[in-house]
Parts: sequence; structure tokens; C-alpha cells
Amino acid sequence: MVQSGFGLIFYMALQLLWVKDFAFFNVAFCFIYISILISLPLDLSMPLLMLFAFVLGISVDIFYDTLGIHAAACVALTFFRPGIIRLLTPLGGYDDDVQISIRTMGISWYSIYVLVLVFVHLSIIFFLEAGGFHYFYWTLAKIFASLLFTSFMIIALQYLFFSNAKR
Amino acid sequence: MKKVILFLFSRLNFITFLLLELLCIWLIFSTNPYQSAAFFNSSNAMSGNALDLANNTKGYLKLKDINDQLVAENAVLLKLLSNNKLTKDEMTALGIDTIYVSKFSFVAAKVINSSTANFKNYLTINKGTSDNLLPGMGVVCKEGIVGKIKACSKNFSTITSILNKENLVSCKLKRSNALGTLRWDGIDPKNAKMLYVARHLVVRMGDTIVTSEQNSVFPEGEMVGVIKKFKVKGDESFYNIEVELSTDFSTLNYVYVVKNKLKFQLDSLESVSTFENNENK
Repeated sequence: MVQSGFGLIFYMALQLLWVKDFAFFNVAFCFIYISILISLPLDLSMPLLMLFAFVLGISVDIFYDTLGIHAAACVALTFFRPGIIRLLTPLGGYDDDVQISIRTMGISWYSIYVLVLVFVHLSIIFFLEAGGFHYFYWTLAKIFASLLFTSFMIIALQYLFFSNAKR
Repeated sequence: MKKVILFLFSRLNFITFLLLELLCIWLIFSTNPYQSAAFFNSSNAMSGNALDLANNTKGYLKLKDINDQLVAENAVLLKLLSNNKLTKDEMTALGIDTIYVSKFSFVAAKVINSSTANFKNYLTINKGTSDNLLPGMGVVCKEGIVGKIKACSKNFSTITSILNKENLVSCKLKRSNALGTLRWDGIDPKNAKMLYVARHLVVRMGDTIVTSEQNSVFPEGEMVGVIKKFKVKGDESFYNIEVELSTDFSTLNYVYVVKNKLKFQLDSLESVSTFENNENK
């Protein structure tokens, strides 16, 4: 609990006070705060988790002046996450109460998991921000550049700081 | 009834999801100015203070650049001052309208947050209603125009940058006074489009574009940019003009908020005349 509280503050501060200004070549953004959402526990009730995701998204939106966009992506990500985990898990599966981290799932499974979820999140953000499909290729470029950047940062930080922590 | 409640309860996840997403969509697309002006933007006290703190910390690394910019700006202002040493009496003698000359006043502010890579870009500055700033005021910098204030809190304001698809600025070609509208196309922070310049007018490469007198946000003649390229297709009635913006948004540190002292009079006059027009119809 203490550790997840620390993680929340650490990732939000990192996102809003520093990483917010990153925009390599005007296409690659880093949304490191997604790390909070993808490591939420699975055994809590879904409505509660989605409410948390909504509040988190609105806080990010306030700093980005994009009211509603990040919140919409966060809620959708939280809603689709159990389904995506079920798809990625081999037949027979893991236990229900397994906590998702590099340590428990292994780095290759974890990387695919991060890539898929971040892709969903970024697609929603950038298409909502563009207000439709008229900047289709430019939006696609933003999604893929940011996908690589964000996923790399999420995995690297998890690996460096949180992979050897006891749970 | 019991069955309905049971059914809803069994779909609780999906219903929560739907409700929250609908709320988000409403927030994104609603045009109600109050909901955006009140709290939910970067000028609110909490985010303003956090951004200010971050900017102050990072600012130390940029001090040399900021200093150079301010020195260059001082030099320009001193030169202007030496050219314009007229007293009020001299102005009256020369027939210069003193109300017009002192129509605008400027408030300097520091940019604590900005973006250029989104489709709709905003800036946050460290001055707000305690310095008598109000939503709707224009913001300029030494090189050119920056944007328009969207929302204010006590100590911070959010500015809709001209790098925002929804921010249109009335401008004109300095040489020929041909009017047009500046609109950013959403991709390159260095370029924008000038729309609605009729094709019978003469347009040249490198023409300077300034703000027109047909807006109450910016002073007339504020620098906007220069024409980078233009073309006109077969049967179109307007030029397709690409403008290289003079403001470099990536290095923006200090900006000036334009207070138009006559804006209130102008607005009330315009609303009266619109009212009369409607009466006459």
C-alpha cells in the first residue's frame, strides 16, 4: 500500500512537472503515468477502479488543458484491461489474484502487455484530440512514435525501480 | 422492476464505463465556457503553483538565454523611445489622437507552461485577475502575436495559443492592406495559413502580415509573420497562402498581455448597433 502510494505520487510528479514538456520531433510524447493504470490490482471492483482512472485522467487533463481526453482514455484502458490480460494469458491461465509486474510475469510477457495497453490508450488520446480522422497519417505517426517512447520508459522504470521489490 | 434492477446490477461494470465515457465526451465537446473557465484548466491555483515551481527550477538552466532575449528587447524598446519623445502638447499640435496612442497598456508575464506539438495548444502565464487580466485579452511577445486569454484565476491565466485550430485571427498584408484570416493547420508550429485573400489582389513572396484593425484583441499592426509560399488553383476565388510565423513558440519565456482600454466601449457600442440592426429588421 505504501509502495503503491509512493508510485502514484512519483509517476504523477514525473509526468506533470517534467516529462510533460517532452515532444521529440513534435511526434513522440511520453505518457509515463499510464504505468499507474497498468499496474492497478485486479481484485478490486471494476466500477471503483474506473472511478479512480477517471479522477487520475482529469488531473492530467487539467495540466494539459485537454479536459476529458485523458480521462476518457484512462477509463477505457481500465475497462478493457481484464479482457486484454485474458487474451494474453495462455490456456489454463494464472491465478486470479496475481499481481502484474515484470517479476511475476517475465519481461517478454510484460512488454507485450505494456505495448498493447499503451497502444489502446494513445489511439484514444490522439484521435480524440484531432477531433476525427482528417489528420489520419499524422495522428498515426504520433501514436507509433509515442508508443515506442512511452512503452520504453514504462518498462525501463519498472525494471529499474520496481522489479526487485517484495510484494 | 426487480428484474430490471437485477439486470442493471449484473451489467454494473459496463454501465459505469458508459456513464464515465459519456461524461468525458460531454466535457470534451461541450462549448459551455463556464465549465472550462471555472476550475478545470491549467490556470487553477493548484496546477498553476505546481507548474510555476517546476518552471522556476528548470528556469535556472535557461537563465542565459532569457537574459539575452531581454537585453535584445530592451535595445529595441530604447530605440523606439528615442524616436518617439513627444509630449502630450506636441501630439495635440501634430493632430495625433492621444486616446488612440494610450489605448493599449501592456502587462509583462512569465510563461510557466506551454506546448506546441498538440492539435490544440495552450500556454499558462503567472499573472491573473489580481493584475486585472480578463479572458479575451490578447497576448503578444517581442517577435509577434501569441494568443488570447482563455481563463484566469487569481494568479494564473491560460492562453489559447494561435497554434490552436480554433483560434482565428483577423490579419492583413502590410503592403496592400488586403484582409485575411490566420488559422493554424494543426501540424507545424512554425507555419500557419492565411485564408480568404481574394485572388484579384497582388500577393508577393515575403510580404509581411500584421494584425488588422478589425479585432479588439490585438493592437493594429502587430507582427504575425511573412508569406512563405502561395498559390491559387484554377477556379478558386481565394489564395492558398502559407505564412511563416514570426513568433518562436519553443523559446517563449516572457510575454505581454494587451489591455485595450477602449474594449469595453467598443463592445458595448457593437452590441448596441447589433441590437438596433435586429430591431430594424
